[in-house]
Amino acid sequence: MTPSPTYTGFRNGAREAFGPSAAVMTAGFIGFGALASDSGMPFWIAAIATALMWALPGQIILAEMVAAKAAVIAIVLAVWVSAARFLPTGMSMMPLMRMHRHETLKKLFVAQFVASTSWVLSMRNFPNMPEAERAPWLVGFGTVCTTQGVLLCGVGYLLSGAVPAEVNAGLVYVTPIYFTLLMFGDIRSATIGVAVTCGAIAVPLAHLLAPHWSLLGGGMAGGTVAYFILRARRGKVR
Amino acid sequence: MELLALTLLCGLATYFWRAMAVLLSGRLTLDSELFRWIECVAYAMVAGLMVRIVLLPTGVLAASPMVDRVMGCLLALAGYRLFKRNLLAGMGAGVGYFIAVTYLRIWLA
Repeated sequence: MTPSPTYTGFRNGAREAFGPSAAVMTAGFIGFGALASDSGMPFWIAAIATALMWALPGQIILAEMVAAKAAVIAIVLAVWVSAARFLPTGMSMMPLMRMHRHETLKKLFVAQFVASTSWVLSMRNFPNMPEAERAPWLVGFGTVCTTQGVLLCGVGYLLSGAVPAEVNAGLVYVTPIYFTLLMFGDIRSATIGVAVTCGAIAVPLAHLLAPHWSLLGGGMAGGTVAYFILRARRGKVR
Repeated sequence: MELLALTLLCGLATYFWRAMAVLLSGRLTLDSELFRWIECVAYAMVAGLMVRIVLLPTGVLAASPMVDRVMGCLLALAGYRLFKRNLLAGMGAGVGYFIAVTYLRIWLA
């Protein structure tokens, strides 16, 4: 009997969660646990944040703003804006998984596992994967990663007293390094190269104008410029 | 209790975008111009977020000097290229450097 695509996809996704991305998550979530502990957040709150939000930049905003005793509405708004990247990343992933139009509940479940890491890896791996295995792959990868994240957050919580805060910062910093490698070190298409470059320029520029909206505004502006550059290039080739 | 409610709200605020992605992608087809644009915005946003964390960090990361953060990224890229595109080698080089130089600065201070 051949295994079903659901089983194969889930198993491969779970396996991927023990690859290099696991090392990144190890460091990132240990860093978050340590930060949460320094912020005076109880461990179970940090664990719930990891399991529910599953977005490191948003979690870091939450921990830091709780420590700074910011207003609830300001914290929720900052987290909300920081998660805006899941709209374009999610929208570019969903059609690749080819779920039926009426399977909205299934899609809404799968969508919980849309994160920056899972998105980058999906864009890399999906083309070499049968369509039926893609959604199970994402769920397998996401559930194992979330479990690891909660456990590692606990490790970071315990370590926070033993390691200087500056070194904890180094662990949080692993995430941008990982993405630097994935995106700049391995540019596989004109789309990625142009869009990554435009975003890398536009977002910091937008940050100087309006820090709170830099991701949303800069990302949209950079992406739009990239789109027109690519369209002009396609036009010339034809 | 208040902290729990806040965390749940943050979870909802994050999930909002994921749910919107599902609801808005229903009729999106892979070879449409709209899809190409969304893909560009996705790469631009994620790349922009990472560059912003390195160049213009807030909170704990803002305590580290810019030169350490940029060097960390460059060393990671170099390690990745030198070791036949091995992610762990790149990560080890970048993060190892960052943690080592951070400890060094603490000891020298």
